[in-house]
Amino acid sequence: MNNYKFIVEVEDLRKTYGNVKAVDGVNFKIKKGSIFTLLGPNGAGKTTTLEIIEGLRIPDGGNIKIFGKEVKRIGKEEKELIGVSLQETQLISHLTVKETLSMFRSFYKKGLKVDDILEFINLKDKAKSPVDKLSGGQKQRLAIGLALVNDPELLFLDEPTTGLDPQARRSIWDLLLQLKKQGKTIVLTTHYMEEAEFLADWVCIMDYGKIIREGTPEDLIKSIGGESVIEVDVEENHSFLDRLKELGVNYTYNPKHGRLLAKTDNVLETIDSILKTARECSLKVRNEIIRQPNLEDVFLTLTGRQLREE
Amino acid sequence: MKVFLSIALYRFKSFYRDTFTFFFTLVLPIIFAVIFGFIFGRPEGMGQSTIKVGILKDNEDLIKVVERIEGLNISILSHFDELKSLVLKGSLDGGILFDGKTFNLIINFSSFQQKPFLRTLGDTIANAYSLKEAGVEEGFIRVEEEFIDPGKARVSNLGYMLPGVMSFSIASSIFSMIALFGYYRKRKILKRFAVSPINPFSFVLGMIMGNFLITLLSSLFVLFAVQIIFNIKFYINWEYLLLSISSSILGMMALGIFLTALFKEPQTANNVGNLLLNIMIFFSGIYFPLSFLPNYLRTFGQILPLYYVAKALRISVGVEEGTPNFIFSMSIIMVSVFIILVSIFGRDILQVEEK
Ligand SMILES: Nc1ncnc2c1ncn2[C@@H]1O[C@H](COP(=O)(O)OP(=O)(O)OP(=O)(O)O)[C@@H](O)[C@H]1O
Ligand SMILES: [Mg+2]
Repeated sequence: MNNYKFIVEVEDLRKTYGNVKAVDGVNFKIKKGSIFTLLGPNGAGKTTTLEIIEGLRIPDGGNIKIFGKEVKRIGKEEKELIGVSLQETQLISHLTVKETLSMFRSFYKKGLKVDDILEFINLKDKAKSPVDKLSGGQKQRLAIGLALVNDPELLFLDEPTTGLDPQARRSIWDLLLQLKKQGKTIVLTTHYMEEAEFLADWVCIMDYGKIIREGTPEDLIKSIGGESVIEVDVEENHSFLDRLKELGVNYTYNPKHGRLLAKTDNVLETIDSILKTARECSLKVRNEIIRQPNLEDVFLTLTGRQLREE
Repeated sequence: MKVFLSIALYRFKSFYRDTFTFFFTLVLPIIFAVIFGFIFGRPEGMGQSTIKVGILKDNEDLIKVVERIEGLNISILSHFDELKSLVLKGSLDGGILFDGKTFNLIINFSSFQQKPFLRTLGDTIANAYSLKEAGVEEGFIRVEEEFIDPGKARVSNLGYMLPGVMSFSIASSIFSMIALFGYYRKRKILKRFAVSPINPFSFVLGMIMGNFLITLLSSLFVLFAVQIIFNIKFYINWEYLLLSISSSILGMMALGIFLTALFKEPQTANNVGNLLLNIMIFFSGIYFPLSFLPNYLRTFGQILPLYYVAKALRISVGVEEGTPNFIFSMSIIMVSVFIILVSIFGRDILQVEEK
């Protein structure tokens, strides 16, 4: 029973709320020791998927296999072995960071020393602060600390960096990489493509309750073709866009942001086409960027939308 | 067991650090007690009462009894006519007549408006007098064949009401359960617990234990505080008192759980709880002696649980007559309702799926 290659396997997972198919036939397998990422926009069904596996929600259908065991809903035994950081961690107020960790630590048979956890999540100097007084980044680190009290093999982290500034995000990434080094399996959700790209061994791109593509970040990026992406700001103009198409430029245009993205294997030729066409239509082109394609481009190519609609 | 104790401990800690709870369970009851002190007069040495009553001089026995009632200013008069005219003029707030069988109270109604105290005077005197008749020289109230500490105890509205302020502390249990079963769910605090391997009953009972202890301690603190502030010494029957407080806490918790189950929205449950609490306090003899109320309202008060809580507390501290049976019956009912509700709603507390 302990002999399994995949620590979690789900098959045809389904969950409907009213007429919203929050999770619509999801399948995936999570390799032991990897960082597995669900990447998707708001409402894609990431949280619902995770919380079904965590035993918080009951699926309408599907199979779950965890630690090599088929379960309808995880029980005490499995809960001893997993660590969870919810999308939104709410704690009992008026308790300190250390007290909160100690309390949750007492719920498990085995686990880490609270002081070691404080050290690891870098909250030693906040040990005596009330949990309600922590900053966003500190709160997220505490949430991760709480997920670690039982030294779990398998961690579920639901958007651990959403809403954090780049520095705080970076410090969480460091924690996650260290945990991976310790051999833990991490299931992560995010809508930051940089995060998935930086951390993930395997990415499932999720949209409207379905996994629309999965693979390693590199493979996913390669799969859409094109060596480079050219981005420019330009006014919406139909004859301009039509002419680009005629010239064979492979682009997407976001009218909300007035931004054009073109994938290409030949940067010089494509940029030339864009600039020339713009001039012909008397349009100004600004903020030109030439970069490598990323997961955002993958999502854009697959759905025609952006991951985060700011 | 480890989980139960740990949850109880941390709930206790989070609770006593919560300023709102602290205020509600400790400060507010004492503030009320002090306000009552101003309204209802106080034991000697702490200011003069303004209630003046007249008694005819041939009622010697009565005079002796009434003299011991705190907060009264007695004038002794020789003729009924004289007494009556002084009352009518308002120089006296009332007069007491006793013909050996029945008391007659004459009251100036304008004073009566201002001084509800007078309204209970009849009962108070009757109480005191009947004990004297029974051969009890100093005391005035009997608790199951045991007499209160003579000399210290006084026939006093204040003394009658003060134990009631413990009900404020006890009633905070209503809201602690609305918090646990309502707000904790709504604010997704329970969700974090639900992903851990704890047993729902260890969780619920641990939380309840934490609340229970803090409420019990607060009530006792309030009781000691009012004794010190007013320099009163209650004759406390500890077994009855602890039983009354404990079962009342559980009963009020049951009410909180019931309200949370009834009104899905915790804010609504909270508002209804507040309203209900105010009604209950009004009719339970905490703000003023129940004898101020007309009979039908007194009867109404008796369908409200806080009436029994307050009464049990008064019996336990020796300011009201009552039997152990009253306390036992109340305890059994409160605890049973509590056990039933906790076993129904406790099991599912960590089933946090939102609908
Ligand atoms: N309890 C619920 N009741 C009704 N609808 C729900 C519930 N939970 C989720 N949904 C719906 O299911 C869909 C998926 O939600 P979910 O929270 O899983 O998305 P998500 O990918 O985690 O999004 P986000 O990035 O915003 O966290 C959404 O359309 C959401 O409105
Ligand atoms: Mg989510």
